[in-house]
Amino acid sequence: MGAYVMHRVIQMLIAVFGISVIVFIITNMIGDPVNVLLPPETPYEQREIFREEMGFNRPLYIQYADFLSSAVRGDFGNSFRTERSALSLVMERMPATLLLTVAGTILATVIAIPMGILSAYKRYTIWDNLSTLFVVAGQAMPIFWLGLMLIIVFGVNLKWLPPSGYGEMGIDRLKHLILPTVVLGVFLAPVTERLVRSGMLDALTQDYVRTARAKGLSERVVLSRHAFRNTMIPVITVLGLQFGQLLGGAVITESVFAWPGVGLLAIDSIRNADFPVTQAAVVTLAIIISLVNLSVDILVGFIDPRLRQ
Amino acid sequence: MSDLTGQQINDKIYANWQRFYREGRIDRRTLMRAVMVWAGAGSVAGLLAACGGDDDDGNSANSGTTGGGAATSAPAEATDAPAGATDAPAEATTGESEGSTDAGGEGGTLRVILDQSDLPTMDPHMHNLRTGIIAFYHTHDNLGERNAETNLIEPWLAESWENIEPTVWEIKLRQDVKFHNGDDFTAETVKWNWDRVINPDQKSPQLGNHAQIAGVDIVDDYTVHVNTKEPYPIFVERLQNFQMIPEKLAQEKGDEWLAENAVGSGPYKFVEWKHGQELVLTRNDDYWNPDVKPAYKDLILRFVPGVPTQLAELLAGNVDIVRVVPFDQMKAVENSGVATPITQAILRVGITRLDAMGRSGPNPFQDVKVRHAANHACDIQGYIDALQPGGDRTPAMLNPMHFGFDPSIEPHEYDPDKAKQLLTEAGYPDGIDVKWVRGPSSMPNQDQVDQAMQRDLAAVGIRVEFETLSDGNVFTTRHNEGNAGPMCSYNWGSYSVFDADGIYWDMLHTDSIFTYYNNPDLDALLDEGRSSLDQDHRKEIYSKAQRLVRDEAPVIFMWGFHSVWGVSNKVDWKPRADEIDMYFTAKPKA
Amino acid sequence: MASVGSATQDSVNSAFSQQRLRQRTLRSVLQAAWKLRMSVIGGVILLILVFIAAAAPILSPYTPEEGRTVDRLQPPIWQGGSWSHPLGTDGIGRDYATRLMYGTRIALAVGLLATLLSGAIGIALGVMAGFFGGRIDAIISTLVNVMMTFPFILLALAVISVLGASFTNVVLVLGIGAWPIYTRVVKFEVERIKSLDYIHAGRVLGVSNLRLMARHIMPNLVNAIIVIGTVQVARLIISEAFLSFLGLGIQPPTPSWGYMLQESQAFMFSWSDIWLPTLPGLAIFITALSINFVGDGLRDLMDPHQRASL
Repeated sequence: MGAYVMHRVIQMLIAVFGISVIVFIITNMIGDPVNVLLPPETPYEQREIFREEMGFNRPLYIQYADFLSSAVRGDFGNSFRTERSALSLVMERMPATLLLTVAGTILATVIAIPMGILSAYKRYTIWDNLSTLFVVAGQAMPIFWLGLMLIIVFGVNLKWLPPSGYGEMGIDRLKHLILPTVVLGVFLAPVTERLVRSGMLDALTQDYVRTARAKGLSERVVLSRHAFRNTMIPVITVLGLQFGQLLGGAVITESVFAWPGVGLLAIDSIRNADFPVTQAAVVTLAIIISLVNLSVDILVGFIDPRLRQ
Repeated sequence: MSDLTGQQINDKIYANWQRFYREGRIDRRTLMRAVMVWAGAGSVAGLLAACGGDDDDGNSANSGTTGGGAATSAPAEATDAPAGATDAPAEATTGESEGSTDAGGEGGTLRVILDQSDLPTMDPHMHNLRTGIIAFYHTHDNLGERNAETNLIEPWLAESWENIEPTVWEIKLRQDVKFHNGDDFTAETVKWNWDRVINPDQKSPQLGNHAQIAGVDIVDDYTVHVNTKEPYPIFVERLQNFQMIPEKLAQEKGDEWLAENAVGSGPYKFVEWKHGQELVLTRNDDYWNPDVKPAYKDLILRFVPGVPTQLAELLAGNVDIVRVVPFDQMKAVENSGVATPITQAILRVGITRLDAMGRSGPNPFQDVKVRHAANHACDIQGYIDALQPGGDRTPAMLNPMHFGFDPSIEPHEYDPDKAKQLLTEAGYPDGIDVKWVRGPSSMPNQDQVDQAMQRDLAAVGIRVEFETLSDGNVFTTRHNEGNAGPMCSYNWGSYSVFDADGIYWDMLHTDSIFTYYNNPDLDALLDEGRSSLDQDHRKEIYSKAQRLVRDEAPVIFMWGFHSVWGVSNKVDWKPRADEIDMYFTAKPKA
Repeated sequence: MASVGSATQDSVNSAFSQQRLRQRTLRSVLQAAWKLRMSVIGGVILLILVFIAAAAPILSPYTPEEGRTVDRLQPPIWQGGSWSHPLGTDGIGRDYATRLMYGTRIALAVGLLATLLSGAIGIALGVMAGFFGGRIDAIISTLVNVMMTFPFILLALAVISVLGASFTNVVLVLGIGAWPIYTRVVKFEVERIKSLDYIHAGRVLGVSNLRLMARHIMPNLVNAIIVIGTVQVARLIISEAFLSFLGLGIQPPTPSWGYMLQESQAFMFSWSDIWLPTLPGLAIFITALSINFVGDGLRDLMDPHQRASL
């Protein structure tokens, strides 16, 4: 078990390291930090002096080494736009993203689990078909369009809900949370439903279910105690692995609803060529995704030693 | 209360410059600059009044009418980032809408939307955004502030200022100003603030604006001497866009604290900055200026990027003022019963640059025929009527509000056949393929205008491919480097100088860093326009210049913008033509 | 006489049984089609879309760019518009139906090209990793891990910012971002197949690696790849739409549904303008939906368990 965990941790570190390299290279190709930092009227000579002073003229790998050594200590430098610590900007936006992703996951689960169970149990019936329809439609849905339409219908024209933004703490925030959560929930529910369904299907045909039935246990008990419980593990597993996708969906949702989370911050920073923030945001997101994957891997390895490869 | 009015201060300063010139202490060039500053600070109405006078001793000062609107030559210093691609009307829509009526300024919260996803800082020295300027105009004060109607800079924190020497300005300060934290505003404050901004280690983005300031000396508690490196007539401009921070507090708390807390002396006090969401301010009931009594107790500036959302908030009644109403939505706002669109002609002019100089590389637009072809290809009036109604045609780039505008100049007719013919004559019978660099949209429907132009250009054989940069600063940098061509979208606010020089020099003079056009004849005309004191003569010169510009067509001539604000029906407020909106003038509608 | 009669009878019998066989085959095909009815519908829609994309110049009298600014915002037919513009006109007078039709070209082209590109990269890397194992596998697997941890959309945005937005770059960016999923699956399959006996035999016999890969391993992967590929096409079409929606994808005047959505945002304020944002989004949705249905059906066909029940 220990070796397994070690192995996974190392993999995670390598992944994060790899991402930091990629994002560092890409951001440095997007634009010239000198041009971003200095006011546009600055004459050429001053730019070159500035470049030297800030060390932007050093070879890229040296700059990266610098970046890395500070980054591991949590210092991603200061935002080019606002002089505030890039990492603190990311951290400050984290609660918003967390709120959205948790709400979205809850909604998706609430939709997906009953639907999955039902469609597994009543296979080949109308319920199953409906749920398939839902799943395929959900996966084909361009969520930014869904968000836009929801804003148009409920936010702008019917005026039932706020069209965008974060709102004030409390009821107001909840109102602002509704539409983005629906969008993210729709994004996540289909995959979750499929998992629940296939997990249930698998479980339902297992021997122990037949045994339970043979023993005369009621259907309800069979379902809840045996089939369901054994389903949840793979569901949780893949939910964890889908976390990367979930964050991707959150990024899109945040941008449509101007929800001030890390995703929107990342997008804005890419457009503004604000490299430290891009680097901080991407690496942080990567770390979180990796940690989730790691936890899932460990959990799985713990429960089912066969999977410890 | 100041003894002197802005007008009197202005006149006195000008008289001093004349004296210095007579004494041989400044050169003619400096005097000319001084003339422009003095004359530029006049009412728009006054600008059209001729102001006769001799060249020699420049004693053409007329009390009262500051005529001629000679432009302040403002080399690319002003904080107003050359409107290349400022985040569109990214200014605050600080419309203070007053919720409840009350002359004495009772309660009520004014909610306004800033078209920005966030302000970068609460430190007025450490940003270069228009929305920032607008926000900080409420929490902080400047030494002087511009009167929108007369264009004069009126005393504000300073009671008066005077150029006692060619390179020394004496500023007398108000004695009754207290900052929000109770600190006094004194000469120490002024010195500290200026020292801070010009200190290269501070890395203020506004450093360029104050490049001419050498240092500040304290004369007594309420008098300072500001030293400039060279005689600097446009020093006055600096007074109206430099917010004062309480120095003791700043030194005690440090820069990081300042970046989070906006403590000044302004009509509103800082309450809270919720990053990425809003800036909450509350009325300063101890405000030193008895003429400024904001009617609203609380002012909330919300960060909401994206016009559709801003508008939705306005129509839903969640905010009181929004700075941008898309033209297509004016009717919807009108009919909503909740808010009203308010249009204001602004000095800003849009153009599509053609790289006549070859600065971005060799290209077909170096041939004047091709440039004319581009102009004839575009149905400018059609775009105005359909997409940005109200726009004022600028046949030679001058806005009708610029002094010197010659109404007899004919705009290019929309004539695609002529365009094709010109192209053929220029040697491009099969047309040309060019790139068009643009930044983020500056006005509503800008993208549609661009695409309509692209279509009309393609119809005559000028096939355009867009390169769209999503960040304003990136675009501005490329533009100034000469790397935005051969076509590029641009617009120019003339630094609120209502004079031909305010746009011509920066856009077309060879010495300007913004120009993609190079013509010694035009340079000569512009230089002459700057040096003359005779407004009639200047008019003639600028007429000649306009003819030259029109015949040279260094750009595709477009129009002067009209901006539309959306203001709640419960609020009584008007925007300004200089786009720096101040909202403590808003009142609740009775 | 009896033999002739019986011969005829036999041939009649066999004719009958042949016909019954055909009927059974026909019936089973129809049965399968019914079970897969969603996929069939999806397939039909997809074919229609392909047709529209190919035949757009014939289907519409307009080009997607032409129009007069004065004709802007004509309502669609169901809001009182005229048949000259059945789906109305956009903000600068271009026929909306035409733009939607030509948008199909962009969507399908980007989806297909980007999938081919990512598939090519992913499969190649997956085969190498699975076949050669060892260090090569380690490197490639790490790369896969890294790429899959990087939020796809951010990667796409960042790279487009470097390269500049254009059709080619969008295809490149999407292709470069989407390959990892192929590699994982392919590598797994390759490893599985590699351990099969007849491959060992081939090796022993001295068949070259390349030959082994090409002739024996590849064909077995086809199933898995096709299934993944169809899902990916839909996903990439949506990704392109989002990039264009942000202004960082296909540039105007080329009609991308995503860009049309962005343009339509100016007109979201009244019910009467709602067709402008609805139609392009619906187009994306329907396209992705039909592709997904087809993909589902293909998956069922490929999966031996499912196939048995057809």
